Amino acid sequence: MNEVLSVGLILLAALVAGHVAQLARVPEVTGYLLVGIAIGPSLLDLISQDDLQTLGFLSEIALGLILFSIGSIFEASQFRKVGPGVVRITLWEASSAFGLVFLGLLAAGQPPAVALVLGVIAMETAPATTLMVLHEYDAQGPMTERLLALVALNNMFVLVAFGIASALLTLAAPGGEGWLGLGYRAGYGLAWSTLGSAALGVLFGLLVDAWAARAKESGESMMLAMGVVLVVVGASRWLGLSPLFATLALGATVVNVSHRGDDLLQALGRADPPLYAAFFVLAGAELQLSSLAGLGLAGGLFVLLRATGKVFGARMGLRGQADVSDPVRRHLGLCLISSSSLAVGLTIQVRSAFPDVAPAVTGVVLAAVLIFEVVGPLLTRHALLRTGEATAKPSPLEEIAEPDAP
Amino acid sequence: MPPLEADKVVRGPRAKLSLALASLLVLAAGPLLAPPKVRTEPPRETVAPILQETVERREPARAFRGIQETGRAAAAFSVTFPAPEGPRPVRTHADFGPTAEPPRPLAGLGVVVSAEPLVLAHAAALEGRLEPEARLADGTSVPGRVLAHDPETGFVLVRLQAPFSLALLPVGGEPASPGELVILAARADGRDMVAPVFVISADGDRYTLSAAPGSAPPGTPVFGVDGKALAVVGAPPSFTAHAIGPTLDRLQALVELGPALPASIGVSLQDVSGGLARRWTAGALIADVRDGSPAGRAGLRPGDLVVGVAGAEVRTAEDALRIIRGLRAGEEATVAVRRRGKPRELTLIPEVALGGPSSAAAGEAPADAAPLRSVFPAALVDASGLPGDARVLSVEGARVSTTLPAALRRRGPPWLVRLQHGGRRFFAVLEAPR
Repeated sequence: MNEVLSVGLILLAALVAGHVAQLARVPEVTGYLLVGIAIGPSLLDLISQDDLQTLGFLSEIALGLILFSIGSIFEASQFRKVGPGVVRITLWEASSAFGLVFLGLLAAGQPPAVALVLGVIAMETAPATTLMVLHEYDAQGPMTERLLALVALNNMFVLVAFGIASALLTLAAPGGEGWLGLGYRAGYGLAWSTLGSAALGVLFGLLVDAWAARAKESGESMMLAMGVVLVVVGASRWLGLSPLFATLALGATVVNVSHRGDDLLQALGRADPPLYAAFFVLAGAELQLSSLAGLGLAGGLFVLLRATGKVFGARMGLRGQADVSDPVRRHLGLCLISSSSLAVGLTIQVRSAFPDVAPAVTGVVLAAVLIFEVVGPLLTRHALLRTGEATAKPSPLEEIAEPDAP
Repeated sequence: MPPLEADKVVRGPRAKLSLALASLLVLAAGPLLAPPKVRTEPPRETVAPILQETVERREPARAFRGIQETGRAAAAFSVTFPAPEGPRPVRTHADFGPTAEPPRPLAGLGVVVSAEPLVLAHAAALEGRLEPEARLADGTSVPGRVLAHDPETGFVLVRLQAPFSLALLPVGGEPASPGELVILAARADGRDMVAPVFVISADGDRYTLSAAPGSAPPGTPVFGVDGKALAVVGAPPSFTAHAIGPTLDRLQALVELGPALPASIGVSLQDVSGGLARRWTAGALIADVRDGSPAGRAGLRPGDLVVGVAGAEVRTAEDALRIIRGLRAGEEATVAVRRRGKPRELTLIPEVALGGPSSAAAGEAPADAAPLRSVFPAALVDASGLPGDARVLSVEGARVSTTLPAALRRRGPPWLVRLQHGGRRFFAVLEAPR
């Protein structure tokens, strides 16, 4: 099948899936993912493995745009309100997911390297999925305010943690180099992927500011924003930086430097829907149903402990934050369950950098991502309804089914 | 517009300029400070260059030099065996015990191993055909004939009838070791594919690969990262690849020493062990007989105990299979059985069939066959270790639909049951737990 046909098929499939999802009272994201699984190589093979590789750039673009808009939560005046609390929650939820998975897998007899890598991957929460569900239900409230900042920080935190874990594995690997050389190599990787990516994002953010005054029409704003996001994603790949970190930094810079930041984000918002739908359908198509067979004991533990760690950690992180109601305390963790492209991306890095641990890690992560990616949006929706932060008008059926939602 | 900017963190041209300069500095310093690349860690885009290399190695001049140097070569592309159109031919059962797996509707691949051209393929892909049609990468169809079949692994050696020019690669890279990155190449539509997989474990000349079961059809070639053909994928669902060299050696030995094409009489056999040993003496118990097979026509039935084939004594299912495979197709042979304790001798004419671990299968279970767990008490089923969802075909020789007949229930265990599970039929004994 040629690429144009594939993209058309993906969009139409997403359209149908979105409607069916609404009827079935599940988030549209879930519909997109499920239809992706259905038309992907796992089942119908209408979108083949080859198509996925060719269309991979669409996912990269979409993810770049999503992270760009998430980066805007770091707008200083707004971030000052929730920031400190959110940092605390992030530290709690990420480290308890890491701790439980790492210790649990060690106890189950996994090698320390495998437990370490899986522990770090367990920390991650999907930004795109979370953002989409929040948008779909037009969510507003104390939990939603925290959630986006939380996810952005979480992803930055995971990248740093992964850098540290890679550094440790590099140091532990027997090699011809001296301790100092290895240490430098490890430290450099970490510094370049964080500082370098941030610098790239900041630089282009400033360029956007310099140009923004000239881009008056919304069409121009859109071209500017989209062009810069694509350049940043592409340049970070070229320079070996993290596209994720760089686009977050880009978004954060634009809102903190330019008074046109909001215009740019709105201009992008109009172009997004087809791209985002394609992103999730492709993400679904990438999921391998057959990977579930390889879940095993380690995979089961990973799924269980990661979920427990997230829910427990979010609760602990919220302790002492007075403006948060009890339902939010109970449900915030559920919104952090989704997991996605970053986990898979890290797995690919593990594959090329540490082939020794790759098979064990790959098997577990592919199966776990399949589970989390399907279950995550459902849990987020549940949490939004329970905390009353979903303001989109629910269907009549919804009101009957959720009588205790305030 | 200063008022609009008042709430921004970074204000004024000087602050912005210094921020931009600082960023530029970081970006410029990064590559300069980068440590030299000494480690052998593969780059992130490992896959594409390897594929290119594989494709470039199809250049004929280099490839034929490969043949001369090594005396044996494999093509970097493969041959496809498409599933036949229309109704599927009647499948032959392997003369195999209950270890066989259900059939799967799939085509397979073959690796071209010499310029004759000979192709290494898997019987599971040929649907039992001895004269399969092969499709080349350019879409042309070529008739082929099976020369040899290794019942141990299910691999077959096929000679294609039309010569065609081949781009060949030397076979036999270093054996892959666990953790090593290998490339799964070529696939059913004839296009080269890239699937980087890892060798998870190596057991002699067999590798377990880190890909999802069923993601490559049998016969898919596996290349080492250096582009050398290492192995071919065996029968699904286990994702095992077999080293090309030894597999080919075994097949060529079969061609020279025979039998190159094992004979079949169309039975599934099982050993007399466990509870069965209290009812039968040593021999091979017939678990299933394929309709219309030589065994079926000669009157062999499930429950017959094979004690001799062609004059030779049989004590285990393996004995029987070995002797049957060695029979000459088309020539009469005798099978000595015990039926209800009485000896009988039957004469039949074996035929040639491509069996293999994945090609033996019984048909559907009868619609009214109830699951084991609904016929017998759960405690008994659990203690037996038998799958609870296996369908009960008969108990003590009597058909059972939903519940155990009162007479049998009064008699109490042990009961001899014939079951169907996962496409295979077999006998088992249900005993009272101790």
